[in-house]
Amino acid sequence: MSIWVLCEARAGGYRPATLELLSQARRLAAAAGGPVVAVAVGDDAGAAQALEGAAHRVVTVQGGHLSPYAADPWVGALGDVLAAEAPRLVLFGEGTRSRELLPRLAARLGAAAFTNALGLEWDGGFLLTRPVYGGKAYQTIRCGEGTCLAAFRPNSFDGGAAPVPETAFGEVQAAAVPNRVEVLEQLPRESRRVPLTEASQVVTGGRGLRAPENLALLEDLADALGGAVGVSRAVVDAGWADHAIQVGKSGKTVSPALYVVAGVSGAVHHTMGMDTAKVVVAINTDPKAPIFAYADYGVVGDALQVLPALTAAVRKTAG
Amino acid sequence: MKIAVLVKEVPDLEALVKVAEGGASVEVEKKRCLSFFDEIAVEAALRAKAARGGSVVAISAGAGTGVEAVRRALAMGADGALLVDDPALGGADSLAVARALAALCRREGFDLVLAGRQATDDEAGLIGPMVAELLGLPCVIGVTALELEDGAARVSRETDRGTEVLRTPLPALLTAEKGLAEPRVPQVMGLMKAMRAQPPKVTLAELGLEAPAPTPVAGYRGPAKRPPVKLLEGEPATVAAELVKSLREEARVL
Amino acid sequence: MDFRLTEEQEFFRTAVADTVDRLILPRVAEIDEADAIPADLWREFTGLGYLGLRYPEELGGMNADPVTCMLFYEELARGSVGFAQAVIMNMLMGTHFLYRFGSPALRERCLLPALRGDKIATMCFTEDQSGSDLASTRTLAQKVDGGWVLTGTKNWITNGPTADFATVLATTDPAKGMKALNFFLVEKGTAGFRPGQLLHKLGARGPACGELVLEEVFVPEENLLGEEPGKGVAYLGEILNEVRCMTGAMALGMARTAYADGLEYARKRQAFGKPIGEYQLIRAKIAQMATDLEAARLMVYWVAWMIGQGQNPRKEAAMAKMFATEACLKVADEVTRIYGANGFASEYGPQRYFRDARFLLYGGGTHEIIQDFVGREIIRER
Repeated sequence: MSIWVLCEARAGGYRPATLELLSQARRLAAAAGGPVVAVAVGDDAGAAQALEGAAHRVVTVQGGHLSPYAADPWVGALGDVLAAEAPRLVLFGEGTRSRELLPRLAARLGAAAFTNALGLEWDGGFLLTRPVYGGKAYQTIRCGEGTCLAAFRPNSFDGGAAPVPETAFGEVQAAAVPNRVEVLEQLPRESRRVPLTEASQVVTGGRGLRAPENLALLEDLADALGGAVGVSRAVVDAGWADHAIQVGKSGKTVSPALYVVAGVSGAVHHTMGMDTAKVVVAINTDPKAPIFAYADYGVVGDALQVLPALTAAVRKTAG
Repeated sequence: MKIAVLVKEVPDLEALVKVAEGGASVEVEKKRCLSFFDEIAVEAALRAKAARGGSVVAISAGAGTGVEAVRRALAMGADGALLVDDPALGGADSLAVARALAALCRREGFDLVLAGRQATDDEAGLIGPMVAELLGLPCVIGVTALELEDGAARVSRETDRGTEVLRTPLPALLTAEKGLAEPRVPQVMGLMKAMRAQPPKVTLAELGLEAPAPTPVAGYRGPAKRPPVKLLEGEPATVAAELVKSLREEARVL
Repeated sequence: MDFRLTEEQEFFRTAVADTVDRLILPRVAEIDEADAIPADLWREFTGLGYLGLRYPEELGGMNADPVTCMLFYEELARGSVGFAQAVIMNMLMGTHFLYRFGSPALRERCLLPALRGDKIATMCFTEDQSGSDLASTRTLAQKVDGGWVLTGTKNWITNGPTADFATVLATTDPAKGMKALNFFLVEKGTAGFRPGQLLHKLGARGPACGELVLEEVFVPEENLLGEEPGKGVAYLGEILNEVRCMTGAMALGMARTAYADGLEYARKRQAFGKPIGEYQLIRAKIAQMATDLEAARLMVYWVAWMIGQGQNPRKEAAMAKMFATEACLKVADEVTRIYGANGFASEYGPQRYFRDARFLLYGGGTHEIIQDFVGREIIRER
């Protein structure tokens, strides 16, 4: 009975989501009585040494056809490895890759599959929790005896579980699988900021910011916090920002530790990541604004003044 | 070209959701509609048909659900609809539903299969790629632009890292992201056609599939209640300093 | 008694409501403020094919039953009253007599384009000195060789200034009162026919409204709509119940919007530490509004059902219009009160609901004429 974690490399190491999943896996492995196995494929295997202590075993899956990333070869490679090893649980961090790989692997393996999850516990079996109906309810599922593939939102778990004393490293060569989808162009998004869906701090603004230039105030605070900027649907509809940073039902799902929201009245119910954000700070001029019902801390004031003041205060304590 | 659109019938976004006492089940108000991203997929399918000719068939699977979803597709202009209707699909997991949809698609034979990138009731995003894998089709998820060529599709999509432009051979399965197409408002003639439509239904047995075991749900709970908000008022600089202190020491998120 | 709508009717209503939400709701304030119907919205909406709803399929219509039609009018008015008026004029009053009595050439030239939204239709009854009192119509129709010459001025004509054609009520002999009234079709561009002064209204803003002037306008014989001269009033009777019921349906739609807004406000607005909806006085208002709306709904759809059954519910249609009008006026008033001072501000909805509701006192017959009519019908009953 093993718990596997698909590891995704980022900036010389691994995604914080990967490390969080490995941490939670270690916590549960003791009670569940099985090892934690970290698996890294292709280019993601380059930094595998950094996983020392994070798992009982590290399996790197290699093959020329696996670089650069493409879904077909990765599904083939991981499919073979997982079929051979038959883990109880395979954990993914939510992202484009998990959305591409997890469903296809589940279909290939005949495995149970769950995404958008945010809780994982053990009580003799694995219990997995995910929001349903847009966060109006939370569902807990008991994973059965067969293999279960599950993707979790970033920031669902604490990354600080004790490391394991020893890690065994192994390598697998994957059989070549053709890639049917051709990449014609890649236009990387210029951003020195952490992606919105991964960010631990998110600063979101709405139409209450009054003018597109004021979105810069969100950026300043996000930079001071080391987080990302999001906007409401109204801002995108007004043409002030691109859909790529829209948070909410038809935009990105965020799961930050700190969520600051300014210039949003909250009259229209939106989850916008607030349901799973650990701490919500709302800024609005109206003390009776509905948004305060969703917040832990509320600042009654003009966002155009409060945001810069907050940025300054954050920088002061950091410096 | 024969185009299929996989559509899911979901509760309306405003539908009331109530967790039963004890959390054993959840009650959802009976206002149902076509899932947001699936509607975009239907529109994309109709435009593909307008560009290359052929037909659009809306397909849905469920236990007594699906008629509203395919009716909307028909009202928009889909040529036909097919339903997998089986009580065993109630509470079934995504793979079971995907197997049913894939079996139906395999039986009909399509050049292009479209679906929404995720359903609004569980945001799982599993069905599209699962069906693709079961049918052995190349798959691109979250498509924001689609151009059909002879025997191939040229698509754009967003990833965590930026935008990509890809080409996939057909047949293929693509899932639609917001921005791919703006769904048209149905014409009255379409509504009439949809109102009168009686889409053919098949059971799992007729597709040669076994009844799946239901997803083992351990329970439900409502959203976590936050304690009443701590409101801060005053000079921005003072309030900001106070807030940062609280976030650091009390909430411990800084 | 089965009070439910059929599955088809439910489906239709949901689809119309969704269309209104997507296309019309975002433009409501714009229509009111500019007092104009945006051309792109008109094109998009009429392109959906709803205008033929009550006409046969040969004309691209749906041959819809009266209940289905009322559902449509109600949802439209729930969106924008002005837009609803413009659409319904093209669908009902402005085209009915053309449909009933128009020659193939006239139908081809006017009716079909109107049902596509390519032409604007209107109906002209009211004059400066005659509104409710049709017998005192002064617009004169003189028989001449090959046709008629019309002279007079019509006022309060919705769609009038922009109309491509009009159904004009004119008298062949003022001394004969109601017995000499006729409908004539007059097309834009006919010599002597022109829009006059524009009227600016308090509410139901959107469609152009104003005078239509006829200075010795010659129309050929075929433009007399009807089998016999002098039967204008009898023909009007054919659609009067429908028009009154329709006005009631509009009142319902308008009242629903106002009521929903007021209810939401009562739930969210806080005073003295709790939502104002928790206080008895507000609760009483809500209870009364909700009850009035339910009663109005039952009356309107009961009348629609009777019309669909082939009955002639003259009294009941007038009653439904009367009751729905009162209900809507009261709801609009109460919602401004629930809103407190905010009900007085231009930036919120209640001031518009309040202004829009006033049109119900005149549209489809004045409130007083309707009441008097009902009273007379009752007194004369054995």
